[in-house]
Amino acid sequence: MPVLKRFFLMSLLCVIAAGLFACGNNPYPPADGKSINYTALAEDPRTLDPAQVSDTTSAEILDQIYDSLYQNAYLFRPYTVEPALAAGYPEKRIFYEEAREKGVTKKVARMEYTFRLRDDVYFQDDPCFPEGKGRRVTTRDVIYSIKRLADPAVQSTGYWLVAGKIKGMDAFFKKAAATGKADYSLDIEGLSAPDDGTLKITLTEAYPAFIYVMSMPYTAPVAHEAVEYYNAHGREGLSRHPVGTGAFRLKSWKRQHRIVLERNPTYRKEYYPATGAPGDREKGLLDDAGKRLPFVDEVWYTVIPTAQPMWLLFLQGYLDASGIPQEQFDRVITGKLDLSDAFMNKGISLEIGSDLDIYYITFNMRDPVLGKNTYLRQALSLAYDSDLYNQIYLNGRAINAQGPLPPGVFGYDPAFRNPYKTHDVEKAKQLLAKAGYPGGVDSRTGTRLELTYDIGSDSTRAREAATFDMRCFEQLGIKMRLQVNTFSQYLERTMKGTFQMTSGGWLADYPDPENFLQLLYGPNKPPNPNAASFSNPEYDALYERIKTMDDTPERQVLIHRMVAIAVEECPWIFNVHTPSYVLRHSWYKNGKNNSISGNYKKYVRIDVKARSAYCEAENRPDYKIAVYGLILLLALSLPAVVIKYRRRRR
Amino acid sequence: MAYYIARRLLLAVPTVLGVCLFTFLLFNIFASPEAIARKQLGKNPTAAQVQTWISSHGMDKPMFFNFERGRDHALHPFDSRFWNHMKELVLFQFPESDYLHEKVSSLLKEKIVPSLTITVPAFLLSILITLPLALFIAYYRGTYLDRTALFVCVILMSIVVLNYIIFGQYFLGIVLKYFPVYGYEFGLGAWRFVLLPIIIAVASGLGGGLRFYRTVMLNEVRADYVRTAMAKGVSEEMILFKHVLKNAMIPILTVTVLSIPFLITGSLLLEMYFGIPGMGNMMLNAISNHDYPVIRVLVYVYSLLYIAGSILTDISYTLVDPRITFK
Amino acid sequence: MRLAVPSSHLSIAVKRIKKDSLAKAGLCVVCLFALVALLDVVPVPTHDAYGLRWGRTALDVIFQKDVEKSYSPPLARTGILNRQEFPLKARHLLGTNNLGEDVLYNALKGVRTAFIIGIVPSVIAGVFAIFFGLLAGFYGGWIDDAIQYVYQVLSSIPAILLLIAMLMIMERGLWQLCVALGVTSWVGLCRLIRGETLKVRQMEYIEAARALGASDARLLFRHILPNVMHLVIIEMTLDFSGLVMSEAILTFIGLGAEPGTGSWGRMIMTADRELPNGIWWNLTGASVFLFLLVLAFNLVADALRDALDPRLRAG
Repeated sequence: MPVLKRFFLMSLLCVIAAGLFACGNNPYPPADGKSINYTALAEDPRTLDPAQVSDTTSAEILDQIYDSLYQNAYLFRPYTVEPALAAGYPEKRIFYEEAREKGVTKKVARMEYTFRLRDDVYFQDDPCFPEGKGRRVTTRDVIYSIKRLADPAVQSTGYWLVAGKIKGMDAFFKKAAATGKADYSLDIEGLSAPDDGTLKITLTEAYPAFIYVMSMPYTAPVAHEAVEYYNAHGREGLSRHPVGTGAFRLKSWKRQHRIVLERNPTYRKEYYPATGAPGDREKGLLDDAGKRLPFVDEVWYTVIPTAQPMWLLFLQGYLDASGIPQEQFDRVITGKLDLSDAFMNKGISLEIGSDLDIYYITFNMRDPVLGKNTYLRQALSLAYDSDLYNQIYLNGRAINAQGPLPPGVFGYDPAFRNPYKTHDVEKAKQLLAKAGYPGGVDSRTGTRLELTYDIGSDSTRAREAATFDMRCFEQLGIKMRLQVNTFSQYLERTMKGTFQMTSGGWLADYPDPENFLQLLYGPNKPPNPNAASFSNPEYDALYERIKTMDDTPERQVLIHRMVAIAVEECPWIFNVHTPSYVLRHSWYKNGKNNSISGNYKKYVRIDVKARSAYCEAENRPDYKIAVYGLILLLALSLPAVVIKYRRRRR
Repeated sequence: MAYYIARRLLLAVPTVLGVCLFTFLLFNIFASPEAIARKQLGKNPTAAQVQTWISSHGMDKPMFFNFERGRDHALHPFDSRFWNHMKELVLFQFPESDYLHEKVSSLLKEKIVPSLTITVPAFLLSILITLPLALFIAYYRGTYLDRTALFVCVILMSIVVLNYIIFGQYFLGIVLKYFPVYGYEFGLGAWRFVLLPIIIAVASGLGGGLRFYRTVMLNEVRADYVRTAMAKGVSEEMILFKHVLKNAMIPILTVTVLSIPFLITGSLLLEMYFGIPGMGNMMLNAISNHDYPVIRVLVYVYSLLYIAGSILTDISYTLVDPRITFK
Repeated sequence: MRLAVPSSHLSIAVKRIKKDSLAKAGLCVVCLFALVALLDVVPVPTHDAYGLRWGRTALDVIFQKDVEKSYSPPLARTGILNRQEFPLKARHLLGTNNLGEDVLYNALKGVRTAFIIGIVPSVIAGVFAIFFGLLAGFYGGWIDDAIQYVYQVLSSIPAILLLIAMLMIMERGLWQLCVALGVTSWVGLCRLIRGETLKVRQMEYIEAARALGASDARLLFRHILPNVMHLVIIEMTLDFSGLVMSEAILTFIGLGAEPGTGSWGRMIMTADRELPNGIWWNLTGASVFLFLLVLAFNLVADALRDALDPRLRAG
C-alpha cells in the first residue's frame, strides 16, 4: 500500500523534524547585545494610569515609568524618602486662619508646603507632544494630576489620600461628581503654582505623612497632552500608554503576556547613591556609586500567574530573581534559615527582607455575641496557634505578630509581648468561662456557642487556612461553621457587617504607623478599611493626634498606648507578619529588598556574560530518550507488517 | 445557491437575537451593580465614587423601558439596560472590560492570534494523523490489531486532558528540556512555544478522533459499492483511499466544521499551562476577576461563529457530495 | 404491549454485555465505585465531644485516618515538614497530601461527587429533553416551532462558554454545577426525542389508542414515552464519562464545586505543582481513580450503545 507507506514515512519525518526544531528551551528571543533584566509578574497590571493604580502589580510597573516628586531612598533603612523630581525637601509653614465649622467660627491651624521642582525634568518622548519631543515638566502638571484624582471620569482609586486633606479639594470633588466630569480650569484653594518650578499645597491640618503621598504614583506629574491624545476617541486610553518622567518608558505591552520597558533617553541626570545603610558596602551595594542611572537597557516583565513555571524558569536561568514557592522552601532553605548548598553553588544569593504587612483575623465588633464580649475575643486569641500556622503555611518564615504594627515602621516595639498571643489553651478556657461560656456552652441558655467564619474565595488555600483557624477555636469546645462566599457576597457581608469573623491582611501604602493604625480608627468603619468596625474613643482621639505629628518620642509613647488599647480590646487576632525571601542569581547586581515598591529597577545592573554561561550549562536537552521512543514506536508497528505479510501470502 | 445562502442567513437572525436576549437575562438579573463596582474600584472607594461608577456604566437605568425625562427633558424610552445591551452586541459596539479598562473588541483582536497559532495547526495535524490512521485500522478490521487499537482508543479517551497536559509538560518540558516550559513570542518566533501544546492537543484528541473516524469508515466499507469494486479486483488500498474516504466525507465534515468555533475555546487549559496569551487565558482572567462584559461579549461572538460554522457546513456538503442539492 | 419494545432493548443489552468480557469487567468496576459512593451516603452515628452525631458516613468511619502534619509518601513511617522528620500516626496506603490528609480517603470521597456529577445533570437534562421533545414532536405547529427556537438559540452558544457564564453568576457549589451542566446539555437529547416522537406518533398502535379515546397525556406518557426511553438511557450512559471529566476541568479553572467537596479535579489541581518536587502520589491517586471510573463507564456505554442503538451497531 504505497499511499499509507508514504504517509508513515512523512509522519516519521515530521516527528524527527519536530525533535530537531525543539532545540533548547530559551523562552526569549536573542537579546542582540542589550543588557536586559528578566522578571516575572504574577498577573497583568490592571492599568498604567497613575491615578487608577490600586494593585501592587500595576504599581511595580508604574513606578518605573512615572517618577513622583519624592522617592524611597533605595539603600536606606528604615525607609525614608529623598527628593526625586523635587529639588530638595519642602518648606513647611503653619499658619492660622478662621474657618466656620458646624456653624462656629474658630481659628484652625493650616499647613502650607512649598515644593520646588528640578529644572531638568522632561516628559518621555511621545507622539502626544509636538514633533514627538517630551516637553519640560512644570508644577502645573502636578496640580493637574492631583485634580485627576477627583475626576469621576478617571475613576481614580487614590482620592482617599487627598480627600479632606488639601484645602478646597472636597468642594472640587463635589462639583465634579455633580456634573460627572471635572472642570480642570477650576482652581483648588490649597493648590497653587506661583511659577513653573514652585508648588504650594495648603493642608487643612498638619499631616506629616503627606510627603509620602507626594512620593506615590498618584501625584506623579501627568501631561495633559497625553491624557487628551490617548483618551481621544478611537485610542486605547492613557491606561495603556503611560507618558511619565521615569528612568524607563513603555516599549510594548501584550496583555497577559509581556511588558517591555526600555531606557528613557531623556531621563534626568541621576546617579547611584554613594552612601547606604550599614553593611551595604560589604555586600558590594556601593560598588556602582556615582554612576549614571539606569544601568539596564530593557526590563522584561513576563506574566506568570502560577508559582511553578516561575520557579522553573528561575532555575533554568531565565528569570534573574524569584521568591521561593511554598512547596520548594524545604529544598532551598536549610534549618538555620540559610540557603542550601546546592543553590549556593549555583551562585544564587538569598535576601530576607521585612515586608511591611500584617495578617489577622477580624472580629465584627457590631456582632451581638463577639462585639460586646472582650473576654470571649481574648479567649479566642489565646486559643489561636500562630506558630503552627506559620509552620504549615509559611514554612516557619513568618514573625508572630504581637500588635497591629509590623517591624520596620516607626513605633514598633520589639520587646512588646501580647498577653493574649501566648497560645495557652488552658488560660483561654478560663477566659471563656469568664466570658459566660464555660466549656464552650452558654451558661444561661445551655446551648453550645456557635461562630461563623467567613471566607471570600473558594480557593484551596483560603479554605485550608480557614479550616486551620477553625480547628484552633474548636479546641475550646466552640462549634465553628464555615461560610464560603463569592467575592462579591463577601464584600457585601463585610460592608454591611453581617459577618462574625473573617481573616484579613494589610500591606503598607507608605512606611508610617498611621497607615496601619487607621485600620482600627472608628470613623474608618466599612466601607472604609476598618472591617472590624472597632471604635474606641481614646484610640480614636490618639489616632487624630499621631496623624498630625512628626516622629517624636512623644508620638512613640502615644502609639504604644494605641497598640496597648488594640491588644486589650482584641478586635483582631494579630496573626503574622511575613518577611519576604528573595533569591537572586549571581549576575543580578545591586539587588536590595524593597517592601514599599518604588522605582528600583534603575539601580539594577546585569552581568550578561555570567548569565549566558549559566544558561548554557543548565539547559542541555537529552535527545537519547527521543531516539528510544522512536525505536519503540517502530517496534509497535511490527504486528501490522506481520498481518499484512500473512494476507499477501494468502 | 445564492438564494439558499441568503435564506440561511436570514433564518439565523432570530437565533442571533435570541442569543443577545439570553445573555441579557443571564447578566442583568443575577449580578448586583454595587458589588461589581466595589470590586472594580480598589482599596477604599467612597460611596460617591461607587455611585459614579454605577451610573457611568449605565447600571442605574431602568431594566426595559425608560420613562424618566433625561437631562435634555426629552423622553428616551429606549435608553434602558436592555436596549443598550442589545445595541452594544448587535451593532458590535462592545463595552469596555470592567477589570482592564479597555475595549473588549481590542482585547479580542490581540488575543485571537496566539490562540489560533495553537489550535489551527493542532486541528489540521490531528486530521492529518487520525484520518489515515483510521483508514489504516479499517484496513486491518476484524484482526486482533483492530481490536487492540480500539481498546487503546478507549483508554486514550478515558484520560482526562489535564493529565495529558501535566505529564506532557513535565516529561517533555521539564525533564527532557526539549521545549520551553512557559512563554510565548508574537510573530514568527511563536513556533518554539506552540510545538509542545500542539503535540499535547493532538495526543489528547487522538483516541476519540480515531474511534469516530474508524466507525465512519467501517460504515462505508460495508456499502455495496465497496463490494462491487472489490469484486472488480480493485486493490483494497485504492478502495479505502479513493472511494471510502470520499464517501465518508459528510460525517467527517459535519464534525470538523462544527468544531471550528471550539478551536478557540478548546485551548483554554493549554494556554493556562503554557502561558500563551490567547482567548482562553483572557477567559480565565475574566472568570477570576468577575469581568462580566468580557464573558458577555465572548458568549455572543462565539455564538456568531458557531452559527456561521453550521451554515458553512451545510454549504460544504454540496462540494463533497453532488447528490445533495438545495431547495 | 407498551413495555414490549424497551424490554427487548434491555434484554439485547444484557445479552450483549454478557458476551463482551471487557464490558463485563467495566460493569464490575462501575459497581465497585457505586458501592463506594453508596457507603459515602449512609450516615453512621458517632460519639464525640458534642454527643451523638450523624455527620459521618460509613466511608468516613472505614477509611478516614488521623490528619498528619504534612506530606508523607505511600506507606511511609515518617513525613517531613520544614526540614524536620515527624512520625506518622498511621500508615497511609497512598500517602498524605500537604495538609496531612490521607490521599486514598480523599480519592474515595471523590467517588460520590463523581457519581453525582455524572448522573444528576443527565437527569436534569433528561427531564427537560423529554418534556420539550415530547411536546414538540407530539403537537407540532407553533409549540414545535417555539421549542425548536429555544434549543436553536441554546445550542448556538458553545457549551463551555454557557457553563462559564452560568457558573459565574450562580453561587459556587456542587448542585449549581449540576444544574449548569444539565441546562447546557439537554438540547441534543431533546432533538433526538422530538424526532423519535414524530416517528412513533404515526404508528398504528397510537392511532388505535387514540381511536379508543385515550387522552393526550395518556398517549404521551403511557404510549410514546416508553418508546423513547432507550434514547434517554443511551444518552445518560454516554454522557457520564464526559460529565465526570468536565467536573475535573471546571474545578481546575476555578468553577467547580465548593471546597470541601471531595473532588478529583481539586486533587489534581493542588497536585500538579508538586510533581517536579517528586511528590507524585497525590496526582497519581486522583488521576488513576478518575481514569478507572471513566474507562469502565466508557466500556459499558459502548456495549450498551451497540445494543440499543441500531443505527450505531456498526463497530
